[in-house]
Amino acid sequence: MSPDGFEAMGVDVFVGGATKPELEAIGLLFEKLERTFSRFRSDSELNRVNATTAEFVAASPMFVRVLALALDAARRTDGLVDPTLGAAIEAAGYDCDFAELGDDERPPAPAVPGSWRHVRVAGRLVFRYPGTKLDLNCVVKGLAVDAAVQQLSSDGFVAAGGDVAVRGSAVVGLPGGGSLTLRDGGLATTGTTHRRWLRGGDAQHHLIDPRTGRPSMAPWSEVTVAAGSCLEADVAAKAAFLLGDEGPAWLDERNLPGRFRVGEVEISNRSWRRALEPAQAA
Amino acid sequence: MTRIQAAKQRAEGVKRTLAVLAAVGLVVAGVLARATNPGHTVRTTRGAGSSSTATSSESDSSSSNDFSIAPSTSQPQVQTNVS
Repeated sequence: MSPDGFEAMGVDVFVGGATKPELEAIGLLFEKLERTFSRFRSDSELNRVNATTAEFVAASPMFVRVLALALDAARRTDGLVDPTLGAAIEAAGYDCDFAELGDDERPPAPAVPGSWRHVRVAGRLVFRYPGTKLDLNCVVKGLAVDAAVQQLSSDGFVAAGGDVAVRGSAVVGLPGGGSLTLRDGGLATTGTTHRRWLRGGDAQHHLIDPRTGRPSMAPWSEVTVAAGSCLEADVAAKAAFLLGDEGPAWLDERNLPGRFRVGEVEISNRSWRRALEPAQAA
Repeated sequence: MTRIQAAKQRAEGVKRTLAVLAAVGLVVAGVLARATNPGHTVRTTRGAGSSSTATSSESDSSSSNDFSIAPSTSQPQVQTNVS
């Protein structure tokens, strides 16, 4: 199964097991989601919604559906995954495409904690405090990968950056080495090893803690989670990262396998060890 | 009053009614949104002769409980990175 590839959402996307029409459909799917939810396209629907000064704004069915999923993720993680961190990530300096982002001597702007509890969706209307900047990238890529793998008529996989969804089974290489066989599910790795920059001499990264409105101070460099879908794995990986030392147990409570890395040191939770123990014992 | 003027008047009346209904709908949607728990999604559906409102913790991802991970020593078919 030799994967095909294209670039979308700032990462390389690899698709295995797709026919040519399926690959084209997957490309269009990523393009549509990127066009709608990009923070860096002036004509994206996300930027149109964020620019509206009224307390409520009408949005497309796809927009409200994805926002509803993001709010659901916020509820399931007690707000650790928060779709209202657009201003916070900009305050940390991530205000343009990452490829163009450079270090800056200016200090970060004031912190902006999350406010997902003030966002409501009614039909196609989105209610939020004026000035709230939504950022739905907390769910969009995982959702795109899940939707893409559903386009496949036979077994295969779709991978985008740290996210992968598999239909059937596939051997997935993990960041930093090692591999595992993933069957009918998703795997996501989130971390601070790639998207980092300096503001005022201080290291910044994209994993904002909604409780402080600042880049997380959690000890992990990377967290990998497997789940029934890429979206679920991605949301759980972000929450487990932000929970710091409590992350492994939080995943175990949900029967989700997780691997945590601090530099070259790896820590895995009980669910991960249980699934992969035979190889470790061999 | 000519028939054309009467028709125009009726059309204006219909327009006003529709505008009022739209405004009422907007206010109702707003009230429903405020009345729900924070962060919730309110879906209003109207069928023939009936209406209903449902508050949903919408979770329509394609999550499966049957996923599994297993050890592998094979060459990876796909390499993942860090998001």
